[in-house]
Amino acid sequence: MRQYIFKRLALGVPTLIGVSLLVFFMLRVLPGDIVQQVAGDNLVTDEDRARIERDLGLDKPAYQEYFSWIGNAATFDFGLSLRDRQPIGDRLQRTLPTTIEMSLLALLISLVIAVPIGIISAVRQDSIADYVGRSVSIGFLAMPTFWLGTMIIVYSSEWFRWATPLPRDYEQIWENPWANLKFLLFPFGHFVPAGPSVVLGVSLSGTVMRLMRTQMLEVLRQDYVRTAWAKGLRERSVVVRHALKNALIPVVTVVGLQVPILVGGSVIVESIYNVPGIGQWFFTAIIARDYTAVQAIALLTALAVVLSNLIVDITYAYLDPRIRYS
Amino acid sequence: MATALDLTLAEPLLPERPRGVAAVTRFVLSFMRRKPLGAIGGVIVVIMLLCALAVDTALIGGEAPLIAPTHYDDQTFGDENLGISVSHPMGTDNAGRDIFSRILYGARISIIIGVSAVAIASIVALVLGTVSGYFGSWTDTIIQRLVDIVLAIPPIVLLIYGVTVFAGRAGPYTRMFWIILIVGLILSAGASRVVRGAAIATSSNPYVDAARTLGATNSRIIFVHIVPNVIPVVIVLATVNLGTAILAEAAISFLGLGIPSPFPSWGAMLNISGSSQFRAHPAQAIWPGLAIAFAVYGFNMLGDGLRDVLDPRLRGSR
Amino acid sequence: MGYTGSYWDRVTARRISRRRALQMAAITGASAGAIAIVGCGGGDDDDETTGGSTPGAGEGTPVPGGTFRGTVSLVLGKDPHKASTFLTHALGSYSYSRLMRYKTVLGELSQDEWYTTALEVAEKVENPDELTYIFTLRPDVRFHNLPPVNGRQLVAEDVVYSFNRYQEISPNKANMSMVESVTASADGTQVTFKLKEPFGLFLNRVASFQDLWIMPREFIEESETASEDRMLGSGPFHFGRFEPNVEMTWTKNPDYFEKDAAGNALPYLDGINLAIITDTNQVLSQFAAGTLDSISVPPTLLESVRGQSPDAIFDVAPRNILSFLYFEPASYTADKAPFNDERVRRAMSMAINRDALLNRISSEGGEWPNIPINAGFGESWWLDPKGSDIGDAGQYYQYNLTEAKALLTAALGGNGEFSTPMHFSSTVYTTIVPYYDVVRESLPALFREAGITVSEVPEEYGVYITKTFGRGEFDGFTFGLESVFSDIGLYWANMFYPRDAGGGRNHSSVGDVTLVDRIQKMLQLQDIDEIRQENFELQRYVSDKMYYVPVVTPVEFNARTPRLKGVTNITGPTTYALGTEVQLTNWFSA
Repeated sequence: MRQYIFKRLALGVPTLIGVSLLVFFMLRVLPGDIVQQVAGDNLVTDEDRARIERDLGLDKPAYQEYFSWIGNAATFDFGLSLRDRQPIGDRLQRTLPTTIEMSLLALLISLVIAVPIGIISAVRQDSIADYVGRSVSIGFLAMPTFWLGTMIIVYSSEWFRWATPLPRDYEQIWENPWANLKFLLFPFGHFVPAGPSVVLGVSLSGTVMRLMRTQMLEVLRQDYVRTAWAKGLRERSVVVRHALKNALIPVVTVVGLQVPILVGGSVIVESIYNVPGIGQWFFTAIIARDYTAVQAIALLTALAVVLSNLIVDITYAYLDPRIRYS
Repeated sequence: MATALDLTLAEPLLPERPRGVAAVTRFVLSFMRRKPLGAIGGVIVVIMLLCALAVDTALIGGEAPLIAPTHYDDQTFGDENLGISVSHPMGTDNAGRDIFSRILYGARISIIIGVSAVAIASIVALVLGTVSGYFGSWTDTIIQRLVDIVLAIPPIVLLIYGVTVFAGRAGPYTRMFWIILIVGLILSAGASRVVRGAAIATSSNPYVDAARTLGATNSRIIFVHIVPNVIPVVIVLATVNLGTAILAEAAISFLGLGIPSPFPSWGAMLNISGSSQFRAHPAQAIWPGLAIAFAVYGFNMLGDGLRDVLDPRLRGSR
Repeated sequence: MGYTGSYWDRVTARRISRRRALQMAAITGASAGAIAIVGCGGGDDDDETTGGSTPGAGEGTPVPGGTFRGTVSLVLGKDPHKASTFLTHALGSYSYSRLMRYKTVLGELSQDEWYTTALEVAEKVENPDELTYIFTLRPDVRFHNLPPVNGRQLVAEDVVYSFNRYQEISPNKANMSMVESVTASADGTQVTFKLKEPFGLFLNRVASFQDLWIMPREFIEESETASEDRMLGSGPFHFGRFEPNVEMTWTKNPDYFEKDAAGNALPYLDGINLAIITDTNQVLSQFAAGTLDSISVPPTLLESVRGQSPDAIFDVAPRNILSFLYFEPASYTADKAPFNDERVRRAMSMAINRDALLNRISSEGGEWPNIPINAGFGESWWLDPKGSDIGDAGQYYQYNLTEAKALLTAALGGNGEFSTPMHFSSTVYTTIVPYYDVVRESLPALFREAGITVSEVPEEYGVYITKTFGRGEFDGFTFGLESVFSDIGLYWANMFYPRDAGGGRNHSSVGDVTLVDRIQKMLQLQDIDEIRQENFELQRYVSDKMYYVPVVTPVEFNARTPRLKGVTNITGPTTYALGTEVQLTNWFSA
């Protein structure tokens, strides 16, 4: 097992290096640069340009910059943001947990919605329940998160004058669990589940439901389930004891693979709900050409993806004895 | 690794079937009977296709609106933000344009982007997945590591990035081209994984070994044995990915980096900067949102139905 | 002045009648004005005084205390010397001081005085000859009582240090290029500015919120990033905290040197708390829910906000953004057709139906300020394009398709039709200026009517600001925005001087030698009335030439809670100096 984990970890390294190269050099070819943005509306003379570049540490050849960046990044030192000159690490410490927690809650919500619907629609394939359940959950998937979020903000204000808490009211879960959960789940109070995690989770539930259903259908056709039926066991017992357990393994693992989707979703949802996470930061940073911030966020996201893949693989291998650590 | 759309096909599909129009009709009828939700999806898709084709006379070389009441950029000063009426079934927007017409024209943009992106994704995924799955060893390793890199970056992030780099100051058509290409390539990464799984499963079949023993070349085996078995997977993936591509275009246009108005992209009609406008005129946000949701729903339902029918393991009920 | 205000009269008259129609309670003596920090917000004039009551009176006695809850969309740095953006200057004004500022009062300020200066750190200015300005500093100005300065007195040497630092690093340093030297007197009470050439509006330049902020040397030299980590000056508020995308806060400076008329300490407010909110929807929801004290209202949403917050007070404001078309530089530098021909540019202007556009973007509709300079300077400096004083050039602002087509035919031959690319920014602008998108979507439709086919080139903001706006690398024309000029001279120099000689915003590289010469001569005049007259002449001249084609800018509305009192008048030059010109006298009633 240990060898397997080690091998999978090693596989992640080239991915991370690839991502870092891609991100670093794509930023360098981005048209428009930070120098003009620092200078604002004014004309940038060559002299100004040289001074600003020296100020920002952008006056070295790109490959040198890359190596010094990646060297520091390996020790989680991401330097200063080019835009507001604050340490990126400090800000990551505050924003990263927010986005991770928001995403985990979204995953949880998607499972809560998707698993029952997936089971029912597989067990009762082509029944009314199947149709309704799938319509609802694919309907959720089909609604763009940015639309759903905007509509929620607009209508809760128009009808009830409700507003979400301000970003300054955000507290990490270890500081104030209640305020934290309220922010992400019930931002309008009143136990109306309409928070950013809910919007993300609802939209993810379609994907999860579809997978749950497919897996369930597949398992229901396996020999041991047929045997269980043949033995005359009750449906409930067959479904829960024999089918569900085996169908859930790939579902739970695949859910782990939704990390990139969730991080991507956070870019838009955080802007709409004003959640101080890395998604909102990323979008403002790329507009401002804040290279160092964009690089750090992209690299950490990739790291999160690689790690979650690893966890998924290990869980999978652990849960399903048929899989060898090959 | 399994993914949401992992369809490993263990046996050759669609062996001997009647051909021609009769066969298609029979398939469609039976599909509608067995998979009503899939059929609803199919109807939505067909309506969308019709809108895209017949919204104006472009197909026969004209520019005049055909089923749309007006051209998408037909502005009337003084007619801004009108409510629903007979002449404007969905009202008008803040530039005095008929929203209904814009929604109809929007179907064309969504279809063009969706279909082209998915075509790119399917071809690339088919090539990468088959090659990777069939040859294995270092070919597989290299391709899979590259795919890993793409999958490790959130798709919307890649899209924002790619559009800014390549189409930061491009006109609408160039921009559309880049969005199609980038969305296509992003989708192809995930799809190639699924195709690879199917290719591995197929090439481990005894008859492939047999063909190899008989001296068949690699290209012959790939084209005769592997590809036909992988195609159904690609078709199902394509249908579902069409929905994803439409959502991706909507999202990037929402952020102001996609197809700019006056082109009636549904996402751009919901643009983040204009979204406060919806406080005064909420209906203006409802229509494009519903259009996106219906389109994506249609393609997903059609895809699910097709999969139920095409995937042998899911065929039939218990 | 003979130029009394048709435009502002119209705005005021309409607004009062609206208020009566809406049967809203008259708020006696309450002055308008609110923080205009959302996006590129404008400022306010004041017109809620009724029946000639004393502005500011009737509000009761100011009560100290309370924290102002506002919002800002973007924080782009904290060092006002390093930054060129008005956002940084606006926030810097909470903590830093200048020698002078622009005049504000509680309530209404006559338009004649909209562009006049007032003393801040300086208690006296002497102007012995046209090249010498001697500022005597107030003896009671102290830096914040915080390390490393610990409340020490602000002396002349600090001004000299700040000027030198500004000259070294500020992107705005060309604004002070007329200064030959700055010296401190031995006793530290006086600063002497020697000019290279006469500059009649020098005090206005000194008062500008974009330039001479006084920053203590010990603080700057404390560490390389000190001035980006926090703010430390002699302004009315101590810097509190900053968290990106969350908030920026200040607390009252208990030792601030200015007092109100009754001798009470200023500021009244205990603190300033600005939430960082990028989404306009969020801002509006927060105001409706009562978590913000003042916001800028997108012009189309006035009724919606009124409906949601019936108690709120709405203040009308001159929005300082200029919106205009600028042409490919080769039009002027290489005589490239078609925009080299003034008839084509005039035709473009006449093809723009400004009334219809304004109706489209604002429920209050129908005025077009900011043509060609911004109306916030008041009508003793700004020519109303609809008035008679604009002269013959006024016709080019009037919508006239027939004449536009005739001009195009005359200029281009044939049927006068042509096609051209139109560049614009597809992100950021659309977020901070709510009407930008609609206007730029409407322009092609308007030009189509005149036979001009426009192909649109959307640009991501980073690309736009660097290439198109910054370097003038574009073809056809661009629909763009220009943020506020705090000073008449800055407008003329920036827009028309050669790019490497102070014309930083001469996007089109307009190379009119006569115009440049006239601007230089105007700026050297000493008599304000003469400058004023020449400024009018120049406005007529550029309206005739149409080097830049102004589009429209709707008036802006700010909404505030009725509890917020002590609001000053805001004009173009004062808009962004929040700490001193806008919020110094704010207080909350119970």
